[in-house]
Amino acid sequence: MGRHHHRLVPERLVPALGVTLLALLPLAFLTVFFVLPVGGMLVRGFYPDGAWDLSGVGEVLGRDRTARVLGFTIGMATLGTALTLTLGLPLAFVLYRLVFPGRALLRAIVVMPFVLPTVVVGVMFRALLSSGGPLGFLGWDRSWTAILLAFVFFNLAVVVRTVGGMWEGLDRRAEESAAALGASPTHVFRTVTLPALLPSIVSAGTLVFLFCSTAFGVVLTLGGLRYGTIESEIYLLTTEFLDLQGAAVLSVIQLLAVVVMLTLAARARARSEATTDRAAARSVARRPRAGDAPLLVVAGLVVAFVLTPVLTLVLRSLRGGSGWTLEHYRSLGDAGASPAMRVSILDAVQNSLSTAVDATMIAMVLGVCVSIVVSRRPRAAWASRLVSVLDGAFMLPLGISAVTVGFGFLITLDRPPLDLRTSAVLVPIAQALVALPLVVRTITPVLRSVDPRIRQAASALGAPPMRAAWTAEGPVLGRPLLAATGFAFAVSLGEFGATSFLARPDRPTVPVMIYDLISRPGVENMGMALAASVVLSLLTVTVMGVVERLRVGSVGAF
Amino acid sequence: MLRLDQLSVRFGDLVAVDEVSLALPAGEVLAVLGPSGCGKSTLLRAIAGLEDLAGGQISLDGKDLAGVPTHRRGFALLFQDGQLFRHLDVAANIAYPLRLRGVDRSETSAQVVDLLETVGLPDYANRDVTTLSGGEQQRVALARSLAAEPRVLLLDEPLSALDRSLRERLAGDLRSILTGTRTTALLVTHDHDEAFTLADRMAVMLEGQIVQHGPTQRVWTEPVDRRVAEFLGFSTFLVGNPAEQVAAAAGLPNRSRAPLALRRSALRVDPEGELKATVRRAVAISDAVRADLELDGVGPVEALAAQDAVLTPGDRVRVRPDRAGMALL
Repeated sequence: MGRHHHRLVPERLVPALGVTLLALLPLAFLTVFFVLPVGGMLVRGFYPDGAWDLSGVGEVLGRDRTARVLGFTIGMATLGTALTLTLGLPLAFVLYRLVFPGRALLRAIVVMPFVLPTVVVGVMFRALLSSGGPLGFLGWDRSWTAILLAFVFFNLAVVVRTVGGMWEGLDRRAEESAAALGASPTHVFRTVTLPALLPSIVSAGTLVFLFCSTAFGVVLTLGGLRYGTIESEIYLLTTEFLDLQGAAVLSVIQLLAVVVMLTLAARARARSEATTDRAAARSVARRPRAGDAPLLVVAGLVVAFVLTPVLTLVLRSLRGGSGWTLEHYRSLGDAGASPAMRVSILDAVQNSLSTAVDATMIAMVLGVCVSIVVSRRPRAAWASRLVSVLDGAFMLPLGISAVTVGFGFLITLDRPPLDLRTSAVLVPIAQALVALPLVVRTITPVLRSVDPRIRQAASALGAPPMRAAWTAEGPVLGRPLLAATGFAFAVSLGEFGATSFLARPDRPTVPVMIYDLISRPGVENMGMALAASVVLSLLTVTVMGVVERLRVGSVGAF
Repeated sequence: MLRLDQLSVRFGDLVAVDEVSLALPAGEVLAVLGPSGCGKSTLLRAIAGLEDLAGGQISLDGKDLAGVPTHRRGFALLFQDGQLFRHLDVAANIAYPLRLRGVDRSETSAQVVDLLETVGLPDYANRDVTTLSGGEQQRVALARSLAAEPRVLLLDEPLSALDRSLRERLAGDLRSILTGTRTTALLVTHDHDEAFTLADRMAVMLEGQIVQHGPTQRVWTEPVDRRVAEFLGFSTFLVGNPAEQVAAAAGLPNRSRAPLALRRSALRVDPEGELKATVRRAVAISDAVRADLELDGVGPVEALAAQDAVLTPGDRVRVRPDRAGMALL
């Protein structure tokens, strides 16, 4: 008799109700810690003294400097994207369509830069290109070329992961049909493979463009404030010139651009999910042939390009005034080693770790909620539109200026009921915001890939909606959850943009300390920054090594 | 003439294709019939140049194909799910091989129209391939393959993904298209009917080896051994006296006392029959009743009864043997 209770609530509303409740928590979080700060920042700019003031918009847009900054940002992002795609596609082919010994290691090496802290990437390229570095003779130190190389270094993983994952899963029989009909390998690639890969290339390309155009840590460490990108300009206007209106205008431009790009990426992603016939279990990878030689060479060079800055960093951290030494590492525990520091770097490591643990927990709880919600496929058109809007909303933190968020935190969360300015929770919250989209992008594809008929079968056997969903989707979640946790942890450890605003001087994280060290002159400061970068890289790379062993394809793919 | 000599393909330690030799004269259709996992698809892919050979030779009209890449072999491949190019419409899919050969625009569109006519899909030229049904997709895929004017058309279970009535209709169409265009074709399939309808010659493949081949009708009625017979649908195997008794009743001379293989259709429940049996079980199938019988002096056998027969376990019935469903091994 008890079974009839269900009928009091129409059955179809039960899942809708559950999903709505799940959506509320992350939505509330996004509102308080994203919309509010960003909104607060914009209000300061456009509504300064209790009245709308848009007069500055034209003035800001008309400035020569603004045009230069926008031009530089777009130019660099375009170049960065083109170069990353050009180098990433051959690498994706080699790492995902060929089998050879050491492939797993190479895949891990290529994904590593994406989680390296931006500041560390900056330090690496400084170490490589500065006058004493192995490539110092090129004279690229503190030039836009260095920034461009760092963009490619940092974003290769996005292209390789996104396109490679797609490439690996393509049904090879379409290509074989074309070949049998008489198409040469290049013709097959151009007329069959490329069109099938295009959605993933667009998706990856858009994301790379987004990351290049909003990069902050890399630009700041490599170019100083000499090269204004839109992000560093927002930073400059906010902190140096207190020109909040100018900053607000640029933030809005950035926000619009980000929304456009995320929409494009989401469209491409939806298309690639819809049009792929996942090959039924057969492996498409094959052994390298003689004809693959040019691609293998390109891939080898790209891997060398990834390894060079890393190795340089490690080697230079071991060099002192008089040859090989561990002195930089020894001074990591010494709080008085440099006037740039108030605590020792080991203390900062401890701060970083505990902050990252908190951030990871927040990101995971919210990320799982969001993933469950956005992986539903409601039948009603309005509901499925709502789901895709939500999906997009939680991607926003990926592209919005970390500076805007960080500064927004400071100016909006500074009075009751939310007076968090001096609280230690702000840093993990900001980091969680950055990690959240990555968690969602790791877990959602896995949930979406579960055949809905398994859930229907469970329902038909009498499982209530939540139980049926758990039966179908629970078993596949284990490894993606672990992988997402590691990914979120690694990203939180390295987060620099927002943290640099929010970390209290007596509780800095390692990336913040590294930036402090390299912004001061002195060989010792640089040496310690190098050693600290090595320590931080080791931490993140170890975490990502474990994640990589979990073999979850969606990590770092978009 | 396509000729395979001692063809072998290995995946590590697994021998997928084991010294297969076959000959396919121009204009004929050969079916390689085998259960899933027997290596028949690998054989097809090897012929297409998509798998490396561990040994042996493939030649076409006396020319060795070793080292000739897939796209220069002049074959076409038709998979069970068509593998149409989703970003192209129907006409562009069919025009694909024509473009490759540099056929000019007007000639191409004329040929596309002809081919669509041939496969029974006029007016489909501008359709998006994702809107087609499974059967329509296969027809378009066939048209695309024919457009290449392949020296040999390779078909990998071309009809297996379709439902039964559609499969039967399309099989008939496919047969007349292949003979009408005098296309030399090699088909691999696990489906007896598909092989039977389409092929002039049939080769049975088990565990990587061709165990029997010859004209379709002959292979069908004269399996060489029990494994082939079992795969071809013979369900009852008799030796010794029972074999002789049944063969004699059917008027089948069996001087060498060979084992006897029976299809269900070899024994029919019939009041006029000369053998006697007890019913153990009876199940209705689509156009008959399948009966498990205990044949007097022989033992358990499978038989067929008329669709309206009412058989209950324990009933005594008479059975008429029919030599059309029997084979001596």
